[in-house]
Amino acid sequence: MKVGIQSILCGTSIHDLDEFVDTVADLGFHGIEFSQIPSKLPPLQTLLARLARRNLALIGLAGGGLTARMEYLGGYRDCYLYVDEDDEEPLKQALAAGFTLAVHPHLHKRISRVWDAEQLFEAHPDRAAQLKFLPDTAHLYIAGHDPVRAIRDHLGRLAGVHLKDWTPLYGWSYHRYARGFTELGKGDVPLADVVRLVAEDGRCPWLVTELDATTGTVSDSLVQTVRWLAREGLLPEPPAAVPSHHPGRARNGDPVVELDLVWTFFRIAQCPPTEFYRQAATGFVRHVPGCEGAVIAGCNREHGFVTVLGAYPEELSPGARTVAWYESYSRHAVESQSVRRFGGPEEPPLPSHPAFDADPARGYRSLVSIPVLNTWNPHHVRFVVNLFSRGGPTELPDEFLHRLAREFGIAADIMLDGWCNAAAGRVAGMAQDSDTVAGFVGEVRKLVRELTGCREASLFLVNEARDRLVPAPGSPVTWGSDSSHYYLRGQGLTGRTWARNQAILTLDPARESGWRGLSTDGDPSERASPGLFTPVRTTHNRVYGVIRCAGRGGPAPVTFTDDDVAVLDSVSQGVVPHLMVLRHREAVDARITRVIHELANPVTAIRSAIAFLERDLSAQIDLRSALKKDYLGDVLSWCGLMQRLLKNCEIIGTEGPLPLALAPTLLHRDVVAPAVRQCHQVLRGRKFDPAGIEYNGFIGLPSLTVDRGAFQQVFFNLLSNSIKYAYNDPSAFSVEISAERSTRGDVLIRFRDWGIGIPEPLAERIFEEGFRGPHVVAFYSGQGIGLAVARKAIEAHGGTIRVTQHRYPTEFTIWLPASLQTAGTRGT
Amino acid sequence: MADRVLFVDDEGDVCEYYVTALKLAGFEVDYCDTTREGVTKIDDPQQGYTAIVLDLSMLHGSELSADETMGGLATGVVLYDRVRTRRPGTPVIVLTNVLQGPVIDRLPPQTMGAFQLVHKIETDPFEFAEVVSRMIRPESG
Repeated sequence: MKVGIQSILCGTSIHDLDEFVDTVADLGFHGIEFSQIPSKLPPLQTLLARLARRNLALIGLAGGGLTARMEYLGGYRDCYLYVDEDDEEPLKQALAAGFTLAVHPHLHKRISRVWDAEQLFEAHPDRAAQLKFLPDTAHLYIAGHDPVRAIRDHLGRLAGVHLKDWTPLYGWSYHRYARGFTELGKGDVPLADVVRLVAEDGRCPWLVTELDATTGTVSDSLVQTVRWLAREGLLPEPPAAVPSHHPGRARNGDPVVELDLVWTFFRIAQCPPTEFYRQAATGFVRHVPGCEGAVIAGCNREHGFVTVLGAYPEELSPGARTVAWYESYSRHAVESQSVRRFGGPEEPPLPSHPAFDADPARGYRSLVSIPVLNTWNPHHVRFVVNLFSRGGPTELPDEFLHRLAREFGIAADIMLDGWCNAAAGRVAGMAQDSDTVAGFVGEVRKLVRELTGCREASLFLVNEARDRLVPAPGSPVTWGSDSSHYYLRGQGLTGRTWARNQAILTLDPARESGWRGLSTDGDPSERASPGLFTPVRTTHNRVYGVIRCAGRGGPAPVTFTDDDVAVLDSVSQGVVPHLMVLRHREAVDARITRVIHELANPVTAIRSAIAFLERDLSAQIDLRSALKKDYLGDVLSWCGLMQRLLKNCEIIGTEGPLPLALAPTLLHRDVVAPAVRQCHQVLRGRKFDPAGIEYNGFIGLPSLTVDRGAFQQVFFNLLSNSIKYAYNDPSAFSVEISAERSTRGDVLIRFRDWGIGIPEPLAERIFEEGFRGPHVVAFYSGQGIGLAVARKAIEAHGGTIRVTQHRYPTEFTIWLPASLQTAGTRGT
Repeated sequence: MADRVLFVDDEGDVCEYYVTALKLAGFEVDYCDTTREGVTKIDDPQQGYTAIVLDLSMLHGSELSADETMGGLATGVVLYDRVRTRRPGTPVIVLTNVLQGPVIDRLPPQTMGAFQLVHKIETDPFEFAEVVSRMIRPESG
């Protein structure tokens, strides 16, 4: 099996055929399939001679009509004719003339699916030797086929395989899908499986790599392709001599370098940010007369520093020593918002660039710094373009330079729009594939690392009580001095991001006020700098969480930039709705699980008690003496308990405001006494005496108009907690419930017990649904919904409930407004 | 001499019925309502048991860790493994209201005479006593 290349990468015509042939041969390919129409190619014999010079084969012709290509080839039959339309007459003529036709399903052509090709094969059963199959891995994949299976089904009929990769990043639409074609290994097509299949089978004569367009140079793209092929063992590693970043024209006549600077900017606007700035710097050097070096710096006056985004040539790329140098010179253009020049006769001198300290003679003598204003906010300088020259000052007028800068700024906007949209698209795809919050957060973190180049990314979410940021499930904490890894609003850089609802970029977080310290994990110095903290917001601009990025590897820029903030904003906007849905789903699942678990026990107990009632145990001599038991009473008690559990479920499961069945209620008679009775089953389980529960002060209270069922639930939940968390000594069990009325008519109810108490930091968290303190989880059963229900029910009445003492006694205080007093009544 | 059954379950007011049914069926029942007590009894070679009944979801306490017990959801699985190590021939019955999920998947296949999984909510105490009897004497059917 040989490996070839399709020439579509060169465009509609090949600028320099010999250069292209040399490049292809140097890279190790065995042949070329030409996509240019015959009128754009030299005569056949010339073409064959040029190919033969480098031992390359003519694999096939793909461009132009079938008739034109047949005429071009004349009697030559040692290549195939690519076919993606099923025009009957030309097909018949080609077959009659003995040509080999390679049928290639291609999106939006008449032969677009495998079955279209199969229909053609069936229509000409006696032409199997001439009608071959030329599958394109990317077109098959986009069309919904499994490329491996489609090729396996036609292994005996292959003219070759077009090896192409594709990413769904740009969607499937008619005008945009082709943007997703990409270098081998960068997309989603199972190329390695295809290669393995055809290699093991051995009958496929050609693997032809094909890429319609590239954002880089043709040489760059081919080298990337060859590297992938080398990894698969199909070609040798590309030679080092093939220029991949040549400042001039590529050997094969890449049309990009032949266009003027403005066209370059818009051409590269489809690149990712890092590549865009690098190529823009390269473009300035290529096209601005006298310019020998260019550095593009991003500015953010609020953060007080300048970030180098792209530089050409490489020697101007920033290292630790050069960042400050760029800052000091870009600053002039930023502050004046006008072109600044250095090194000319009447201009400030330009000190040697740090890259040339050892040999100042090699350094640059002059510099022009051009501010690029923010398209959307002309008072802000967004970039500074620094153009260097060795030969002396340039005479370019300021107006020309401003014009260039403006075009560059617009192209940067377009680039960032595209990058942000692509990021949002990625999030949507991830959400579809994620079933759990932890899984989705893991994917989000991977995406953030990929998009920003950070070493580690964490996601913190505002908790239900909205009093702190806690690590999201699936998100490790890379730094933080507090062992519980949470941040209060305004605390630390993470908490400050929440409080200000604004991103923070910092070169070195450890130097910022509010820095809380480093994790003991890993190398602190690596993780410390730089840092990016950005809010994750809901559509109502409410902070939902904070993304935190630590450390940055790779080439320039060495810090995080406003582009990173913009991209993460896009990511966040996509993340929040999905995260809300997943969290809600998990909360509902957890709630259902808790309900099932809570209800299973009383149902089991009732069933068991009834089983005992059904049995005639009179013959069991043990019964009267040792097994005296009121099974019927048990059934009633368990039913009562189940009723309470179901009420908890009803209240906690109600989304939005709690509907209330209001009725005039005397708390003592209608709420407290029934709740205490209903706790008898719970008391019995702990062998506590109901007399341990005392309540007073309720007799004098007026009637309140409240939902009795909800209030019984509140009292039941608080009582059952007091019983659960009491110490094991029945003689020490004690609960006091007291009520008092203020002069304004408010009612205060206090629950006190002498159990294990509540740690002070958890005083608010215990009211979060599902939360259980770490000090109780291992030793006391429960689902963490009792206090959440109590708070929801009390607040639905306009009241409050909170912990007013943490231990000895533990005290909960309920405050009820005077407005609940039943109209026309007074204290009795 | 009556067959002796170790019964480990922290929901005392529910499993009380099952314990009673076992006693009525003639078993001597050693009941533990904490994981710690259950571990002690399992580990004690002086304690002989004809069968061991375990709940699945139990507070792990200080004897076992939250990690190994999945926060208490799989305490019974950890105890089961302990029984298999220290009392390899003793039949084990897991009595639980957990019906499905990853914790259940960690249990071994059921084998008469060795291991049975019984769902509390579907099995009344007297039916359960018959299950235990069949586990101890599988030949009696």
